[in-house]
Amino acid sequence: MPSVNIQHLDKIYDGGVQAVWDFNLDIDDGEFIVLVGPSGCGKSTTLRMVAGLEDITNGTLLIDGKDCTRLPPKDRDIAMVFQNYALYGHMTIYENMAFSLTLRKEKKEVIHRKVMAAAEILNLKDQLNKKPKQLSGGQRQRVAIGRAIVRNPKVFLFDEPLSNLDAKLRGSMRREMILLHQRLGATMIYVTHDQTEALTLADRIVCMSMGYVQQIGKPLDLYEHPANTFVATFIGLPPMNMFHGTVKGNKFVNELFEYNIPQEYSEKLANYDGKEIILGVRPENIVLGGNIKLFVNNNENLGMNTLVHGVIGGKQNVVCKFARWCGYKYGDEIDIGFDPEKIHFFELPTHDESGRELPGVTIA
Amino acid sequence: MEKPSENLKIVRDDIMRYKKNKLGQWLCYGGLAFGCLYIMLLYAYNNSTFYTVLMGASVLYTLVLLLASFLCAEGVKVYNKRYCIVLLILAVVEFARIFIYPNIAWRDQAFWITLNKTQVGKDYFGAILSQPAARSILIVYLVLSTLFYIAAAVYSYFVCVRHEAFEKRIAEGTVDVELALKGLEEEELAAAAAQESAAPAAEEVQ
Repeated sequence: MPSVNIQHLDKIYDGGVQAVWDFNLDIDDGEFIVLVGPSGCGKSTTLRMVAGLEDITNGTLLIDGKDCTRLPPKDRDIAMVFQNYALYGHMTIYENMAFSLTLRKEKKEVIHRKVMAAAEILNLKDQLNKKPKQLSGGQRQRVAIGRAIVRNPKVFLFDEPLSNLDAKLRGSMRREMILLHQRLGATMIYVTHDQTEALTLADRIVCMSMGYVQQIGKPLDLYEHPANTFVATFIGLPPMNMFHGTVKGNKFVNELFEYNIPQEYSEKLANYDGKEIILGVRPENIVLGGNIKLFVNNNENLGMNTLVHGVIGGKQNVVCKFARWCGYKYGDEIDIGFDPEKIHFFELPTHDESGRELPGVTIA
Repeated sequence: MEKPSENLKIVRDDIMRYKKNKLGQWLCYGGLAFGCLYIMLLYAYNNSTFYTVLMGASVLYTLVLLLASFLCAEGVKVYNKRYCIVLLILAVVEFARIFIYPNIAWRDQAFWITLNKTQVGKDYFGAILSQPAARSILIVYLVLSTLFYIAAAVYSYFVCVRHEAFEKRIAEGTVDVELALKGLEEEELAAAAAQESAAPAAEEVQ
């Protein structure tokens, strides 16, 4: 039985604005699910509905088989960690972590045992007598996580917990989150707009846009087999390069270049002959030595690899990622091509009856 | 009542390292609160010539009392043993006040000559309070204040000593809190298992 079962969840606010449309997800016990998407895509709203902080307009939420759709948050056996930590400034770290258990009137020895165990896991033992303002951002976030751990909930909910931290700390906290999940083996639902967090932490990613689920899958699935143009451009940094063109026989023809469609894609593209489609190539799948001329705009050496920003034919911006140190200058012209095994073809974006743009679906 | 296990004792002592001596602190505040009530009633009845003379000293003492009580409350909160002695001194002073005012004043009726001879009592929380009643209440306030200070001092002293001893044991490494926590968890599990096995047996008897 899945640990969390979400069926046809909708969220419509009082003004009639619909934030989440038909959200469906089964989460297995101990699974780490990451909801990812741009701001306003409905990921936090979905999490808040699971937490009970937002009313569910339509749909059903089951936690451990129990219908929690209309249950108040305290009866759902979940613990939520917020972006802004939500710690009590007048309490010590110990008191903050013990607070929820104190409210439940647990024995003080039991509270102590749980708090000490959480502090041990999170390496907070030396900070227990301090006040939150005496701690760094990362430590505060660990306290917020600790407060969730002591409750031993069925599901942990994280609402962009690392967004307030600087890049270096975010990296180390990411690793700590992975270790924490391995150690606790608990079901976790994590919301972020940071695709790096999503790719590194998740067992499965739920990619959302405009209130709709775009794709659910393992990180590598989303990266290598995006369901549509939204997922293709959202997952991956820098985003996938997209070229509009027409299928003509076994060629993808663009006003700037022609590309021979590899044999393995021919069958799937047979129905698109003469139609306009999109060719997608990730920056790291662009290779040197093809028949496309790239005019270099900018060369960013990042140490292990180099991002080369350029223009094809003065119109199409392209980003290439080469796994070496490059020394290109503005104005250089280089010949590029695409790794034939790592290209993607998408249909053109369409519109539904309400005029909403639907991302182009993957063809191959 | 079941005697606490060694593990439980250790865990209880360890809790003191992370929790403040709140009871000691609030007992101090209790003493302070009754001291304040005493002062409020006293000043409301300030119509004796004797007390007018001592008014300056009384105000000064009151300020010192408030400050000392507050400092003691903060001191015992963090298990500082020295403040227990200050609390005892405060208790003695509060008790001694009973014999200064209102008792001296009571003995000498001249001190109770009111400025307005027609006035037989004063409004106190909605009730008309006669002078003997006011005297009794003043004494009760001082006695309660004294008792609170003594309770705060005695309780805090024992807690501070326990806390100090445990810190010493931790520093010496003669106590292992983690082991005690584990032991306590096992004890709890064993107790829960025993309770579970006892439950069906009890049902059978019924």
